[in-house]
Amino acid sequence: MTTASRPVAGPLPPVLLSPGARSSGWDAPRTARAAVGALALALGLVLGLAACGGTGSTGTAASPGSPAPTGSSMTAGSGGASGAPPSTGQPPATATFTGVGVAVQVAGGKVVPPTHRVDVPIGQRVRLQVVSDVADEVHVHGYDLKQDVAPGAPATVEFVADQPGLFEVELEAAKLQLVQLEVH
Amino acid sequence: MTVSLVPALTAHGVVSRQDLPIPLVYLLVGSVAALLVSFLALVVLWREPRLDWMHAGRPLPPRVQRVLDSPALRAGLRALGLLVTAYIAVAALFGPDDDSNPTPGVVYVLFWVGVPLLSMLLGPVWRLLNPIRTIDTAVTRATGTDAEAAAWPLPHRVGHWPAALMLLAFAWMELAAPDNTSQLVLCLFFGTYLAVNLLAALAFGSRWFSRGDGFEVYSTLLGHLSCLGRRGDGQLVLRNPLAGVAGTPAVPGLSGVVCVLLGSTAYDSLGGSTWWVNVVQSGPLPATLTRTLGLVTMVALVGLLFLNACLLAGWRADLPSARLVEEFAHTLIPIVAGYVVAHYWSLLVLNGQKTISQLSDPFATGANLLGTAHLVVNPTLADPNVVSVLQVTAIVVGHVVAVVLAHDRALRLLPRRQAMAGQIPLLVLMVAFTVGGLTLLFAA
Repeated sequence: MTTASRPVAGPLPPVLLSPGARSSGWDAPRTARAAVGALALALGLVLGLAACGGTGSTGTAASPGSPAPTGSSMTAGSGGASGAPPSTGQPPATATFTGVGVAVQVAGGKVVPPTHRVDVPIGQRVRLQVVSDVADEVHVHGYDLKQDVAPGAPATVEFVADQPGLFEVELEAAKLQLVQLEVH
Repeated sequence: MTVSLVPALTAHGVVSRQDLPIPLVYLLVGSVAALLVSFLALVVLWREPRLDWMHAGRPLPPRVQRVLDSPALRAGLRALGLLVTAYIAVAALFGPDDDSNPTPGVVYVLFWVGVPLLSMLLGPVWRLLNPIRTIDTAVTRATGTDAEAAAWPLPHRVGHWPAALMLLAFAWMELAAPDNTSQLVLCLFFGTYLAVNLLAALAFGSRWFSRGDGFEVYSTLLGHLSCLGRRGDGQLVLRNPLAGVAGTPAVPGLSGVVCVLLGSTAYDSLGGSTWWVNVVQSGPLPATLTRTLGLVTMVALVGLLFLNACLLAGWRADLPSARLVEEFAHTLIPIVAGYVVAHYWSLLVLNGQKTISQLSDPFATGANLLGTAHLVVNPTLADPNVVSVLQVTAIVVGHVVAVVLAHDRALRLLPRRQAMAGQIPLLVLMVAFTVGGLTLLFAA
């Protein structure tokens, strides 16, 4: 609505198409050929580049915004690197757990660590631990998992990430997005 | 930003940059090269304006045309539109206000995404189904007046601007409003929408719908991309979609509609990024206000870039700038279409199926009214690899088609010696939109 902010000075004539213009339907081979040619050329270029680049390692481009899950994502193998321990009541990551652990704390309407994206290899177990200062419900969208959380007591949601995609984990009543799980 | 939408998945669906077959930078370079090469090819090979919807196309066999235009089929479609709307309205008004209610899925997935996609394939389908049109016909018939007759003439300058406002209001509800899936919000929105459009149609006559009804305008604009269309002489024809889009009437406000559609989709992409989520959640302003500002800024940004490109394109031509903007606005239609496909395909496939299954049991009583209750969501069509290829193709093709349309319109509109130079600002705009769109889609 903000385009053409200049007022229209008066009634605009409907688009005038010069009557002499040649027909351009499927029955106008030149047009069709030129259009199809341009499209084919365009697509060929992109797909050609795709083929050349296909062997390159993915994910090297566009690294800004890539997860770098500081302190919130851990595998048991790496030794439970949960940066800021949310609370004393939090059970430590047990040695038997293999998978992706995510710990989030919510206090005063703020999410710590700030909402970020965590990479989850498909088929891995995910263990989400959420501590909140108010009673609420943790909701893993897409997997449609829900878990009540009481004030101060950590709530744990554990599941196998068997569907690919980008999934939001939300604190339902507070409408706070806690983390995004990128399963692939 | 999908909030607790049905969307199980964030709006941009299951695909993320990890699923791209190539690094994003290669993709950007390739897409920009595709646009530049297309432009050069057009300059060399396409020297006269060729797109002419009046005469383009091959007529369908008369029998097929008779069936498609038959009053029985038209009446059947109207009845279908009314029936489906009534069904959803009952679910919305009386169903449980929780995840099991199909209404949000119907509104945000089947209607908002499904109808535009169907329009791209078949033409302006919402015009045929639009329940408000049907109600308007019934009301005018009951009162013995003529639906076409207007108490007041609709000034030409009003054009599509009311439609642009309505679409912005819908986008605001979807992307910025709190509780966007609650029955209360949905019923308020659609109740108001019905009242405004019905009153406007009674005041200005039924031509209001093709001018001011946001959803019908949206469907009709994307419907120009269909191979099925109506020629200047009224015949139903199979035609080059380029000719169909080039025939979009340059009505005031057309630019507003396309910029709202593009800007709101761009905002939806941005809204999925964790950067924006943190801005909304920890910024100084209330979340709804921050989201509103984000949405309005995106729409304004798209609008200003487009306005600027059009003014530069025609700065030496002797045309009023308002006319110039509307004459080029149709070039953005294929870009809008490309983003609808790229952005919402997986949402439509996954949540569309879920919604169809929910539709069988609108009151969460275990009913199976339509026989779809036990439908299991089949993710085949939303396979990440398939989707990423589809997304790239949709966006690149959309922009290349836009370059072709801008070229043809420039040849028709601008003095010959300015036609080539005049397109360069538009080409730069298309390049900027491609880079911006792909980056938002795959890196945000």
